[in-house]
Amino acid sequence: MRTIRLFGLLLIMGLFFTACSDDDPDPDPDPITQPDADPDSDSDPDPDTGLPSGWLTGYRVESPQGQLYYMEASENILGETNVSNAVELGFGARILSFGENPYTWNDEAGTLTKWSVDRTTLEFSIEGIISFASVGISGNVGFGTRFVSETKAYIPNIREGVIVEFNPSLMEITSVVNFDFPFPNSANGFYFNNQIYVPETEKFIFGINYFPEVCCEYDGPDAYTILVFDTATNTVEVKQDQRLLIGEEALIRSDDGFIYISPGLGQAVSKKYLDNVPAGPSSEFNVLRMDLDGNFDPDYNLDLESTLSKEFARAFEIAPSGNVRPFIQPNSDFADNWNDRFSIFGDFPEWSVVGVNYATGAVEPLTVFDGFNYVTLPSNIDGVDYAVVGEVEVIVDGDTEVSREISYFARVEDGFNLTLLTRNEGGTIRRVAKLW
Amino acid sequence: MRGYAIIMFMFITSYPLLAQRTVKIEGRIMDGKGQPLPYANVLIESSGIGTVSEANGYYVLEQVPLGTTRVTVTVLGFQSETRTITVRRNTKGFDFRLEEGTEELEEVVVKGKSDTRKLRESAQAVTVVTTETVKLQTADLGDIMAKTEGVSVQRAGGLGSGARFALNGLSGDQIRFFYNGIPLDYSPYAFGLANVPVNAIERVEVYKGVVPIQFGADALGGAVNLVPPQTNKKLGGSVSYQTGSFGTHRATANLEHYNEGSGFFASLGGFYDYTDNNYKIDVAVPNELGQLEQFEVERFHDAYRAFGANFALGLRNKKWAKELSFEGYYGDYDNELQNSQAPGLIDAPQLGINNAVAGSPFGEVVFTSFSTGANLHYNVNPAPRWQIDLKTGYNYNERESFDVSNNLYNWFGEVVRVQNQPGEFGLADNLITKSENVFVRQQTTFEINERHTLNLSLSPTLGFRTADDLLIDGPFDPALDEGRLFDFVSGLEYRAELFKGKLENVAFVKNYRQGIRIESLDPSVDQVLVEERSVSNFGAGNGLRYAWSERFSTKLSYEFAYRLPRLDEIFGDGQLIQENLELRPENSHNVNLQWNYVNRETARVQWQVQGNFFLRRIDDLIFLVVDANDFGVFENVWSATSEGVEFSGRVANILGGLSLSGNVTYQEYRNTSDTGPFTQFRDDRIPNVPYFFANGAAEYGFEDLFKQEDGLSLFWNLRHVGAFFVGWESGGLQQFKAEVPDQTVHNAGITYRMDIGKVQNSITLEGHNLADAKVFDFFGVQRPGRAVFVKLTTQF
Repeated sequence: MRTIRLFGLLLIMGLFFTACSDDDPDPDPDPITQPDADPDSDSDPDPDTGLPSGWLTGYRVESPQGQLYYMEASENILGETNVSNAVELGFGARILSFGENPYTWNDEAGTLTKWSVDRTTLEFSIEGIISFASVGISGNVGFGTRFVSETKAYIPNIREGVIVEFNPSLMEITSVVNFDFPFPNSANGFYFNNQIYVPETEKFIFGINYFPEVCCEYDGPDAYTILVFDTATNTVEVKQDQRLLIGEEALIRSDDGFIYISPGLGQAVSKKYLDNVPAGPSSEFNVLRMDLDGNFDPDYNLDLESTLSKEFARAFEIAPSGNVRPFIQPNSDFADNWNDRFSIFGDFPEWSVVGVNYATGAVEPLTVFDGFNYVTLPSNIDGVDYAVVGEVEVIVDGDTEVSREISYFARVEDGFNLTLLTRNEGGTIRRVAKLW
Repeated sequence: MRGYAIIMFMFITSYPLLAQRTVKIEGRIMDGKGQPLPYANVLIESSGIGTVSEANGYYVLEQVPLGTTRVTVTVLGFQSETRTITVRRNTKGFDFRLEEGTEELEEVVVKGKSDTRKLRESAQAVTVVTTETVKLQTADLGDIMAKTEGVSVQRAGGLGSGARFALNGLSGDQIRFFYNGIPLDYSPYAFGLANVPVNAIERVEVYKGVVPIQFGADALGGAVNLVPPQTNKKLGGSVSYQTGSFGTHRATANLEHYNEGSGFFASLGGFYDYTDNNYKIDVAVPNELGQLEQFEVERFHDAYRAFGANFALGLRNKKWAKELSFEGYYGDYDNELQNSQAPGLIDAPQLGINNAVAGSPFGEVVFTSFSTGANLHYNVNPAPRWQIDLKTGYNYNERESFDVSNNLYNWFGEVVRVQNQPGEFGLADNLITKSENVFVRQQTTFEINERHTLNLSLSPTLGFRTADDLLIDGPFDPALDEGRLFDFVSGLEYRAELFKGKLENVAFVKNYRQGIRIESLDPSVDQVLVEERSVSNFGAGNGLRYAWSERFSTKLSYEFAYRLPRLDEIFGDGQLIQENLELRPENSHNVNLQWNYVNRETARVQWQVQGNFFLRRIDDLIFLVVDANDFGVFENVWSATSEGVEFSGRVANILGGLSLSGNVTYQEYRNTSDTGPFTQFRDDRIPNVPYFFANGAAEYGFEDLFKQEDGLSLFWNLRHVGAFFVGWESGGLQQFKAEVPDQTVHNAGITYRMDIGKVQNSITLEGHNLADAKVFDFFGVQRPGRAVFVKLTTQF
């Protein structure tokens, strides 16, 4: 159970957003359109060949034994997933892609499988399998895989202190970089990381975060920490900034050329309940930014606590472009009791969503996310922004409530307007990519 | 707490003690040469008291009134004998020698029946598996149970491994296990049904969907009761020892004494199991480039050790008690774990990998557990037509998980990396869970007349649960939360025999009460938080048996049953799993329609066929609904229907000493959810559950092979399980779907028996999985290949 809890919390860091209050005034008519009747508009034929495009859709559904993962190929963006036409990937999988090839990660096996899709029949076949099990990479870490080119890709397990470079064409390990993780084992919490790859500098930036599991002694980092991995030299550099303690799950790159990090849930929980949390600027709710080499900008910080009048709020990324970022903020405060610390998440409470301009600190209300419980997986395909949004459908029968998740792949226009494209019942869409 | 204690005390102390004027008589039934005759009917005509002789010809008649009476002994192929006997207080018993009959006997109305036969011929939906023969062989109880129609046992390895027992599709908490009528967890065999030593069991009763009230349990899909042997000998006992492949050693011993004069009895038993489980499996090991190569390797961290002991002291057949006994027990086990139940199977023949495990093995994960306790049993006829049976006990058990190693192993048992993060299974874990339980199982039976009986059953259980995470220093350990669980299942049963015993009907109602209280220390405010919940539900059922003739009978049974939510399902884990105080019990409408046909008892070739149609309509099934943020809550979100047929048959005494038996089960266990997360898979089979399985067996016996008191039997067993999908059947393209393939396993062996005086000795040589088939019960978890075992058994 401990394992489940901890992995779960790690996943929380990757995904979170709940709907804002129905009581809030609605200054903006609902800009969300229902599932696109003609998703082909996003699926134009290849301008060079005139051939139909090929899309990959990965998603998961529930079963009595756990969440099962599937992927399917289609000529157009799907209006609805069709699990009978999909490749079953089993439990604990990740669906990735690069170029025309889907890749799937198997948590238990610690393997990455390379697939090909026939352009005519859309049939899948396995091209190769590479195992990372013996170099310390297995479990729920496949999401960190980053393809740099046809012949170069990386898969990190930062907490384990290892980054592996491999050749996706040959499906062979090229090199293994071991380094010392800068923090000792925590007795009361655990470390997790997020990452961003910067093509211009050929560097990975890994944000090191912490989440307390046991009350009431803080034993996390004393400053916000990043690791910068230079792929040119295979070296890892540790950088810290004292103006923040624990960061958010997302390192967000904006159009202004900076990478932003906002304070995380771990910082809010630590500050609220734990003893011996480092005092001073690091315990404040500051948004920081860094350049593409991972150098913190000493002249920038955005005090979220004064901006939003909240002790906790979280940023999420709806689309890769733009400088205005949505923040969710609870309408209630943290409970006084440690045992009730997650009550602000419980039972789909009412939340407020606001847009915060990183550059100016300006705040504006957003109602476009009303009714959704999460937004995740932002992507940009052929210059168009997309994201995955989800809602929970609740059927009330007498005193019985039965819920199920409905997930959508959505086109994001004009910053935040959503057009729902692909619908998946009973689980989250985990990947939509254009293969050709 | 105090109120519960008072209730239990009242149960224990409130029975009147009245005198009896009966004794027990015993003896042996033999042929003219002195060879024991099994299955002889022994009947006292005046009282209807009777029994059937055991394999060694031994019989016991309980509660025989003092005075002169007539005893009739009948057995197939022999002339019956009727003898007038005078039963006095000091009467011990009588032996009978029957002469072979040269003409077919007339059919005899058998009134005296063994417990097994009584159960089989009752209105209960029960299958009884006796261990008389199989206890001489080397299969473990999991394999034996898997040969039973309607039963599926999925094993995660060899001896000591985890097992999923399913009965007509339902499994896990939906099936309850008992040892002599009390929960199996409150016994020395608390480590799973499959690992209970066969020689410690006389028979296994499998109740299919309709569970008698005396078990006092929320058994949604049925119950399994393991019945230990009970001796009436002055001095009896048995010893067994088994050894063989994979470093396996299994031993049992028990010694029993009964003094008929004083009624005093005592028994002492114990068992010891050890296995390395180092059988070979196929694995895919990466080279330095990360490319997989397939190897066959021996498992290196899968050893299992268990031992236990129990004793009993008591008195029987006293004026004031049919039985008053006290027993104590202790059981202990250590179990190494080399992989999870989803070890990362890779099947890519084009890359040279054929169903091989690619995930890293565990080299140091260990689970340990012990269970200890004491039980008191009191049975009395306080007045004519009244009987009270009381069992009460205390149990304490601890389980510890130990997963703190930093070493990363490969499948050759080598450490390939010292990891930063301890923990092989997941994050480091060293958790001790502790449980204390006090229970009462009390039945009061009132015989309205010979044909009508009322039975009241009261079964309160009070349990305390807590834990200690040894990796957390200081007092603020979430595992230290204390849970208290009070289950009170009560039932009232009316049993009637009509039409001269042709029709038996059992109707019952049950009430399930559950009170849960959990206390957790909130360290942030240094305050104890208390949460409580209590519920009450009613269930009911009926069993009907009609004997259309001496040879053909049918049973129709029904129960509306419940499975009460567990503590963690209601209160969550205080982390990501939220509490749900509105969670309802799972419920099911269970129906069985059985028929049974036997040929004439006087025929030389004995055969029997039987069938069962079953239906389970299950609703409010509990499922952990996890949202995209990984916050979860247990909800009543799905429903299912399981329906199917079972056929079984056996024939004995053909071609001399040949016996054949077989059974087949086909079940449709399907999702019927109209709402909730499984809606789109409505009408699909429930994933990862076998739906077709069959068993066959043959045995040929030679008697008096080398001397008069020996015998040799050759036996062969076959088990086949049809392929089944791991995921939803309508999901996924067929060529990529994970599937547990067809499996067919052959076992065969030879047993030589030789009696020396009253001591019965046997030696068995047996081969398991003779074809060395690559067998999986769970996807990716390979089971042992070919193996050979030898077993020595002595009974006296």
